[in-house]
Amino acid sequence: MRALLRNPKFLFGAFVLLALVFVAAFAPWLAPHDPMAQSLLNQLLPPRWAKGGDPSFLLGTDTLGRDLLSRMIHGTRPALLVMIAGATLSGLAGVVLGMLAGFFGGWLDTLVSRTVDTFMSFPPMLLAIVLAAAMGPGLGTVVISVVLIGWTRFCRVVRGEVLALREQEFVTSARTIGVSRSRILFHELLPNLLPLVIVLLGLEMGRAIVVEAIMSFIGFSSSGLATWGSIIADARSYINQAWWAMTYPIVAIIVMVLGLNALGDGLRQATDPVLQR
Amino acid sequence: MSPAFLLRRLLLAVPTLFGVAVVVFVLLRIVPGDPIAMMVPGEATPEDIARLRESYGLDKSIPMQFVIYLDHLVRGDFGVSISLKQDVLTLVLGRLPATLELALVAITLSVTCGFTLALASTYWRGTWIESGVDAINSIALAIPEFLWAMLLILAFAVLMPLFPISGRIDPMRATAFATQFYLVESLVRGQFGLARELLGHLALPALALALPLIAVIARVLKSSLQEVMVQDYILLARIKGFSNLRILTREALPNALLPTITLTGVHFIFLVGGTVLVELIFAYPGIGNMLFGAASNRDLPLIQGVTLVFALLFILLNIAIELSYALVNPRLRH
Amino acid sequence: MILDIENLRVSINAKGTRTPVLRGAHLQLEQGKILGLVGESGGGKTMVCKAILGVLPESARIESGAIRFEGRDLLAMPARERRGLLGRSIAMILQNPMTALNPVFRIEDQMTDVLRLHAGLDRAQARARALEMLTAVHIREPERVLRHYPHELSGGMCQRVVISIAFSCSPRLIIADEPTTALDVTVQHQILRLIRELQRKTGTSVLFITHDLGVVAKICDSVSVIYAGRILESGPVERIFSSQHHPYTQALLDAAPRYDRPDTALHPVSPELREQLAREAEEFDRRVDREVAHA
Ligand SMILES: Nc1ncnc2c1ncn2[C@@H]1O[C@H](COP(=O)(O)OP(=O)(O)O)[C@@H](O)[C@H]1O
Ligand SMILES: [Mg+2]
Repeated sequence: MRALLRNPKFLFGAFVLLALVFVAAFAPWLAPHDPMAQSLLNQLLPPRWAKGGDPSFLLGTDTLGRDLLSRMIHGTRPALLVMIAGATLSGLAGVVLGMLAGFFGGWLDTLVSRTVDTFMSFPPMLLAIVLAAAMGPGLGTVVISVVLIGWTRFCRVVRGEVLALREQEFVTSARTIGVSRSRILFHELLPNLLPLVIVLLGLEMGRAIVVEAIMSFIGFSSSGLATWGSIIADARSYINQAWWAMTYPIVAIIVMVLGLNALGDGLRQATDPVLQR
Repeated sequence: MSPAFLLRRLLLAVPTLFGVAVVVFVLLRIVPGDPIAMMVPGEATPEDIARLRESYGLDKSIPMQFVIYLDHLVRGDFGVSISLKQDVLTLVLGRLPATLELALVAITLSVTCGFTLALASTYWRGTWIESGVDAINSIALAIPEFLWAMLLILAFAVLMPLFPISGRIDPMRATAFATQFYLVESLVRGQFGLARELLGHLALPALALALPLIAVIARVLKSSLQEVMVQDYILLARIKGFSNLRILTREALPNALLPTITLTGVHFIFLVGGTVLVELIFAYPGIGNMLFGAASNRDLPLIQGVTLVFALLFILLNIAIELSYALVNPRLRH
Repeated sequence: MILDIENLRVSINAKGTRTPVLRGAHLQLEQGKILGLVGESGGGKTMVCKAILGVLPESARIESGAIRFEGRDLLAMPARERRGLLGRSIAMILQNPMTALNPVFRIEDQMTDVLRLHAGLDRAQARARALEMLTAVHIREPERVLRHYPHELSGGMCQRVVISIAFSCSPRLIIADEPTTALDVTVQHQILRLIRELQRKTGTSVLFITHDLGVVAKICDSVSVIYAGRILESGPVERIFSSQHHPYTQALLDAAPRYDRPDTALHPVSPELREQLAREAEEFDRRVDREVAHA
């Protein structure tokens, strides 16, 4: 714990994550305007500090006169939702299937491994697009795409780890003294997998943010929401009049991705006994 | 690499392709929704709709539909696109060259830049050049291609307008080509003006695809070069009196290639997958963009066709990569 | 005097600490002779070779000294000119033949590249010369060996190839760093005889490194004994093997398997002697530090 608090990467990542959670939680109070409110009088205002900027629109407005700052602030909500739900669900699916496949082996392992291979033989975006075609746009589609793309990563790593752990003494001895399988799985194996899974979760959250941005950029997320991806998509269409509009979501996403990667890295550094020495 | 091995690899691809077909087919049918209803005009009678459904085989039970689909696939019949009303295979193959050219330019860019960076940072080890390359690498790696694409648009299309941000070529000039391999064709014919225009359009999408791979290649090649540089045979080469540059490029590089090729292979596959998104962002008319259109129209046969072609491409690439290992390592040749 | 090393001090800087590995070493090799450099593993023998060739590891630093090759100090020579000597005038036989050859090239390429660089031969001439050299190191079917990759050859064969590369440009000095240590005992004798034979034929001077005094007795004209980077004793082979010598040399003599008297027990170097030598090395380091501090 002490090591964690002294690890700059972890601190940076934790700060970024907490900031996101805070902004998302208090978005309606933090945002100066309604993110959807259009104002034909205030179209394409530059940011406040630029020439022609309006003090009440800190980051300027888009072609419909909507306040970009408010849209950015409200955009944290779908980002956070997809990040948490997507990463947790893919973690859950991947860990469960990976543990079962690694522990029981046999036909179950073959089935899971072949399925992983099949999923990995798609480009991830292709899978997401096919899914969107099937389900139609919406936040649920976005979350499920994150899961469809992400579960294989957990599954492969966890399966490999379980295969290695299974042969270790504490597991084989537990088996010989007749400890039940489910007990071995949940009490012996799971705690050993946890540090690894936490690091993977950190990485997956970063990826989920990007997938969310991409899906909303191409219009597969809910159209009634202000999302970072939709801000990028809108901004791209008027990029020659207001290039700055695109920079806010891009910078936000980059900071989030870097922060979440740093969080995972920091956690690993601080919890890995080998790295600590 | 024996023919028997190759055959075995190709046979192993069959279950994977089957899996892909199943996954896509099931995904597309788990959710209710009628693609036919979407495509017919408002005044169509229920009989018209029923007739259309029948002609696309959508009136049968889902397992039956799958069997029929497989049966057609085996004969090379990918079906007819609902939205474009043309043979799916023809459509996909017509767009595939554009995607292949994009991927090829991107991989060429990655390999050239990645190798240059790795060789430079090994040659000038311990200087600012090495630290600079390391810094570029970690930045390029940390940012996914979607964001690179956006940053490139900002940088090279708006702030410093050097390259176009959409399309493949001015449509007026597209008629000049006999094949769909515009770039290859213009180079072969010596029409360098056209090639320049094509490359200009390719520059940003290819760079967006290439940047993460450049970093991967540079990093892996650099670390294997450093491993190789301390080997005895490099010492012997130095004692033979060869110049540092020659030792690096002729003696060390061939030995450092294997891990790089393995990894480049794996990432090339990601890169090809990444074309879907990048084509969309840069409105580049390849199969990725076609897939997006098909998905928006719920054009089931076309979606299935593009996915299968992509999966097949992936599998063939994997095999090609394995073959290339044998070429760089004489020990694997037997 | 083809090679004259004087007061050579080299240290290794790793993680902020400076460890001396050569402590004022001095060596003299007469034209056309074989000088044995003997000492246990870790004594600094390989460091001497690398210092002569200018291929010390990056962490190593030459603190002082001179390495005169044919009267000219290599350490004072411009880097380009010094590299020009390598392969052409000075060649080396490495300790482990299995790792000394580049695994991705055929033997032919690895033999002809140096000939084309230094002797200015074209491809066909270089190949002819390579065949000639392989015959000279008693390789049967040289044509076939040229086509092979290193991993297809045995250790002894690889070492013959390495030796033929070393001799192929008719260098004036050859450094052989424990050329037989990594080989089977039966092969060791053949390789020793081969080096001796080629040396006689070409008149090349050889710095022959080994940890085995028995080997020294067989092929060297003179010998220097090294321990912890210090040369403890130097002289003609006959003298070292006859009378007055350093206790460490005596210990090495006792430790060496006696081919003439295989029944005698081996006497390892005694702990007391080791301690005394370590004290002397420390004393040397202190003296150097004092001198550096005064200067
Ligand atoms: N690359 C290196 N880095 C650090 N220390 C080294 C390196 N090479 C050799 N040494 C040290 O230098 C000393 C002399 O080594 P070496 O010349 O290889 O001995 P020898 O060849 O007599 O066995 C040893 O103590 C060894 O640990
Ligand atoms: Mg040695």
